[in-house]
Amino acid sequence: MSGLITWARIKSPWLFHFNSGSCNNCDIELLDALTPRFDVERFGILLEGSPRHADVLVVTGIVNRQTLPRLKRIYDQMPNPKIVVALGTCATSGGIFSEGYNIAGPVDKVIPVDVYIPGCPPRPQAIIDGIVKALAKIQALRGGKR
Amino acid sequence: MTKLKAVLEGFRALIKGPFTVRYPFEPSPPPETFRGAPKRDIEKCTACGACYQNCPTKAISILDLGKEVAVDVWYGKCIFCARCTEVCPEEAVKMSLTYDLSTYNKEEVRESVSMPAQRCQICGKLITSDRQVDKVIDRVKILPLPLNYHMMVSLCPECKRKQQATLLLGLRVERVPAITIPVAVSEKK
Repeated sequence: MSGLITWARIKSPWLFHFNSGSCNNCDIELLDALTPRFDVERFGILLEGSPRHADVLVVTGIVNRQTLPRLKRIYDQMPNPKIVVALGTCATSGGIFSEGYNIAGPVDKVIPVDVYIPGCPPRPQAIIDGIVKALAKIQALRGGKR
Repeated sequence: MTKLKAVLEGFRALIKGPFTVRYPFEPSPPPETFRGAPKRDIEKCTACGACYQNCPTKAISILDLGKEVAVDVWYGKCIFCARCTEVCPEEAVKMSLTYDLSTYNKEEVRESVSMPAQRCQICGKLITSDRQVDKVIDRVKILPLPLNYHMMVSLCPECKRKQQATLLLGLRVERVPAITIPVAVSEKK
């Protein structure tokens, strides 16, 4: 039974995209990855509007003080098991904004991150690569709890 | 008319194949001018620190490893602006076409190049690498050299200033250890 659930999760992970103060380049690249040219939908990946229906949380951008409580709340709203992908250099380490006055730290300072995709912005191919790695992680999470 | 266009498009797709890139199954090389991860030529790099000083995100750091000095680039912080390739005096840094840097552990994605270090003969502080000292000596040789130029390249700025002051004012410093003169690699051969 758990094998069947894992199979279902890998075959169709639903994705929730959260912008935590990004410059929009990473967001555009993520949307590019969903276009017919790169088409992550062939892996069953669907961009979802509600965190309550999502398996994967994709965070772009630095986490600033205003988005910090929202990010925490969205993370809590997601059902278990959840995978968090930090998309872009800003989400990975703060990048060019890392010494700003309003930074609440990169994403992994706030919530546990599973896959990092560095790049400013990353190519759609790099995003696909990261998502494939995230799927491998879902497969390793057999049993449900993280 | 639009319908005809759509039909033509359909036939074209039959001949050309799908528009989608088959990326994870087939490699998808970026264009020639793509700015991927900056790669360092180990033979050419002298750890002069030009890239370290000009890096806008401070992704590049110069590490003191005792006998060696390392130039460390963390791709987790790099924004691929190619500033390091512009300022590199040795043209040792080049932007590669590597883009698939995604990882589970963000500390992993780094490139480190290490080489023998040159330390201050008096206080033991790290100055730069041996290679950089050789380069400086080679460049300075064109000019008529001051007699103490070997001392100049083997002391850290602070100790050098103190030495110069003592020489100028004729003061005596309490204790100056014997200075071993560094020999350029070209002279060793």
